[in-house]
Amino acid sequence: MSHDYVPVQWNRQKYFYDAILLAAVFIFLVIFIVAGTKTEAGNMMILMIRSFGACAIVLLHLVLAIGPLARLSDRFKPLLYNRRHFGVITALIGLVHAGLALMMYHGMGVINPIASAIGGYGNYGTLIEFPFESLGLIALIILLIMAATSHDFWLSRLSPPVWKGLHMSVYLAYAALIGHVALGTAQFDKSNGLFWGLAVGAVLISGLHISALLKGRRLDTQADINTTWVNIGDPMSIPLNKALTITPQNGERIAIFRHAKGISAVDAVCSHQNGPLGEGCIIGGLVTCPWHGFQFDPETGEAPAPFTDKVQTHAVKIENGNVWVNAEPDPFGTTRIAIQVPS
Amino acid sequence: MLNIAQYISYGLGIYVLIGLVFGLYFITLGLRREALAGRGIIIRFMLLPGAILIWPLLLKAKT
Repeated sequence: MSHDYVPVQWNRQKYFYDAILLAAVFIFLVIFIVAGTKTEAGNMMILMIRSFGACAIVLLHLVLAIGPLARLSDRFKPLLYNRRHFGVITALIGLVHAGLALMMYHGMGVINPIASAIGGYGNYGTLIEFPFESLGLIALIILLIMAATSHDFWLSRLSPPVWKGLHMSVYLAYAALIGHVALGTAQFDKSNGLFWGLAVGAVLISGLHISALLKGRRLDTQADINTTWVNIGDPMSIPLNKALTITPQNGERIAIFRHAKGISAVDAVCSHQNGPLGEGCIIGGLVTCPWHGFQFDPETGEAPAPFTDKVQTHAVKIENGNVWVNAEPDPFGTTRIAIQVPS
Repeated sequence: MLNIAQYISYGLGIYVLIGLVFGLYFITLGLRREALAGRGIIIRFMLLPGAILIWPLLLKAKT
């Protein structure tokens, strides 16, 4: 391990998740098309356009749900580690949907198909006649940029803040896709099923994000501005071999771990690629980053030899049965022996 | 409105064309100075779409 870019290798688990994901996508498309041919004598091309579009929007809902679900329950963390693959598949399915739609509706004329889709019909001044395909194009461009830059190399090359900022535009893509469907296909859906489906999806996604935010606020303690020592409370409130994360004012997040030797605190940001150390766990006595498995000794903040990565430690004390952590980080390499939890 | 739409589509085409030229440079000569120097051709082609789409960011980082 080092501060330089280190490619993360594929493993059996990632292949397994990808195989399940691709199989689920295939089954979704087949069921959609078979059901479509039975319920309406539609054109096969139109059915394929709709099936890929429906698949893309369902996948995008899953992509957006994975983050808050993983914060609400550890059971969803394996999905979080493979979320980028969901995103890439979503963009590719969306690309197929757009390609088929351009061929079907805009590929036969003399006008450039993209120009025809975004300006060849309708009126941007009204909702009813709004050229909804332009919203789909905006969403597709964002999803393609995200998929193309999902490789860890880009995270390292662009720097984590820039990369994260770029990838937060997924919410803009989501809003554009909702508009694309609501102003497009949903206008012709007499049952209003699509409209209600979109509404339920939006409520679920918003609800999950709000729940995860509220849970994070409960766990995140704000430090008193007048002191560098923060009261964490009962030591047993920290899950064994896991961390409680706090956010001091004007400071980096701190992860307080309870492990076999006692209680230790380190910066909650992994020195490899800014991964959330506070969401990691103790494996083999070492703090393990959930993103790429980089490890650090909870007492020294140092990676095991021969690696040289370090995170800063924080002083911890127990007074009147409560755990206190110093919001001021120690210099790199400072050893802080874990504080024993009184029995 | 169609005229504006055509300008936008030409703009997108030119952006991707410049990105393709820059991307091919990036994954061949550009990566010599990166930590990926000496790595296989597959990983370089995996990076090509990203280089095509975000070439202004990469150019800005170089200057």
